[in-house]
Amino acid sequence: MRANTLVRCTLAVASLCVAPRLALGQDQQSETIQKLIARVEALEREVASLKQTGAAPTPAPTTAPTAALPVQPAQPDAVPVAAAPKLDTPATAEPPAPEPLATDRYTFHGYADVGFLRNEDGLSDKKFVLGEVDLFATARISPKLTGLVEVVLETDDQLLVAAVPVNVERLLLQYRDNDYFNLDMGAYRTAIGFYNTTLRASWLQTSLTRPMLFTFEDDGGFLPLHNVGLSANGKVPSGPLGLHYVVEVGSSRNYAEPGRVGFDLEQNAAFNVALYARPHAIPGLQMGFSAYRDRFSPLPGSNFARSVWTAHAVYQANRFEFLNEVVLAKFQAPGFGYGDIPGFYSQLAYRVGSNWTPYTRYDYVNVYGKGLLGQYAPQYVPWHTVFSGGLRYDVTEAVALKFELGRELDRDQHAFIRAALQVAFTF
Amino acid sequence: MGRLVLTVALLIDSGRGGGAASFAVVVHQSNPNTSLILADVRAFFDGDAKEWPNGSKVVLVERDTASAAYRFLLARILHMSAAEYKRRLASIEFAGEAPVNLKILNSEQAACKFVFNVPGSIALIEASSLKLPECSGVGTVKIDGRLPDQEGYRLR
Repeated sequence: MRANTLVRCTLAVASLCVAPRLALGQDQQSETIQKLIARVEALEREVASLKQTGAAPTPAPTTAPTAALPVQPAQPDAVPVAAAPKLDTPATAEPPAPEPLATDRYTFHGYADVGFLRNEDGLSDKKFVLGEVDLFATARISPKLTGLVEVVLETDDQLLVAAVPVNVERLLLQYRDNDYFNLDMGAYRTAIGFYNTTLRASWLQTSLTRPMLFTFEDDGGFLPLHNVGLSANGKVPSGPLGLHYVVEVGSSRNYAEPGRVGFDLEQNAAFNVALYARPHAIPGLQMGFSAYRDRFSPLPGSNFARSVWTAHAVYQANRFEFLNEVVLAKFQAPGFGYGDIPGFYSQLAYRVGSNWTPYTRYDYVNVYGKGLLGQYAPQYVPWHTVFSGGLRYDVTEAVALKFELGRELDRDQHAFIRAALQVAFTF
Repeated sequence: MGRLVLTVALLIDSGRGGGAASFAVVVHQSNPNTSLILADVRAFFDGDAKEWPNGSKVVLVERDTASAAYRFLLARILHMSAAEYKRRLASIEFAGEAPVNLKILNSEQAACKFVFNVPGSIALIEASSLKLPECSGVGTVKIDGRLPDQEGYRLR
């Protein structure tokens, strides 16, 4: 078919060349046509020869890297790949040699948001807020080693213009041998549940707010979402079940409630194991659980045994986002009693058209216990239920506008309704 | 005069392209994976699978956002909007996983040239583009056992 097309094109060009010469003498015209026909016949023979060999044309040398190609905008034809295969080059069956891996690959992404809050804490406040600025970067050090850093500028805690807290969320040296074994060393986000490992920056998450269960430690959250140590992870050979594992050994960061900075916080040994499945038969489905243990020191001199159990079932495909997570956190210490915090959230979103995504979420947590811990735990987790609903509109691929209403019921105050508007973007 | 008419007719015929609503998955000629199921294609392009069975890295080759191939990829294979797809790929990298190797090119010829030169690459192009000289050196993948010109081919 390609050979025929080539011949047709050649005939076309030849004919077009011949046409203006119709005024010339018949002898000269005839001679020219004969020459062109002879040329076409020669080309046909050459094409037939190429077809018989059935070989690929020889590519020209290339300098394009293979597995180190950053996501980049569309490029014109003159991209740094090899020249087009030429039909008139000598035929050969040899494929081009694999190209070497590039050893320097840098990526940088920034995530930020700005918004307006109304009645955020039930105190009837109204304010514009600058959300956190999340700066994420990776650099390939060698084919198997990557450096990753994520720094968050937490502008919401800003007291002075020149005093914006800088939080090193992650700082990792990643060893990636294959899909089955990877090792991360440094400060990592714990594999507790689904939300903590995947979603942080406002633009990445569908909803305007995070599930209350996954409130960050420095905002009063009770889950250990950040640790320092080692994390091994990868796939488990499991065929269509698509099992993955995570094993983490590290030291947990222990935060006091906001305003209690300055305490000498202890660093405690932590261990976490997580297993989740992404069955091939249902793209977008992920189910898993995690089990975490460490010692928790929210107050000076305190040292409680903490264990956190989570399970999740998530579906993100075909316009749907259905997130479900259950958490059970247990705290205990001899002489202090115990405190248990069970909770869950469920979030459902559905994309309408190409840009509109309405969503709703229900957060629930309960607290009970005995002894000092039983008395303290409700103060540490004051909220009880939150029902949220909102709308995300993707203005562009990199900018999203969100609006959310939430009704929060706390233990120590009447239910209140809050509202928020946010522009989240990536750069 | 008759030759001139024939020439014009041939030019029209060669320019038709035909089958513009059908799309083909192409890989490097040395790639032994010449038959995939649609779920495999989806897993490659949504970043869930980043390696070929032999352990080599997958390099995704996509057309620009205005192309028919890209629109087909989003609407019929991934079932995502462009924004969702961007978030999906960003989430993979943000989660600390190995990032997706993605090359975006703005012509079928450039996509074929790239696949021709990069052994681990895979691209979705219009089936009519397989006639292009630049696409003569790449392998066309069977999807669920069928090639683009066969009955029951799913990428239409």
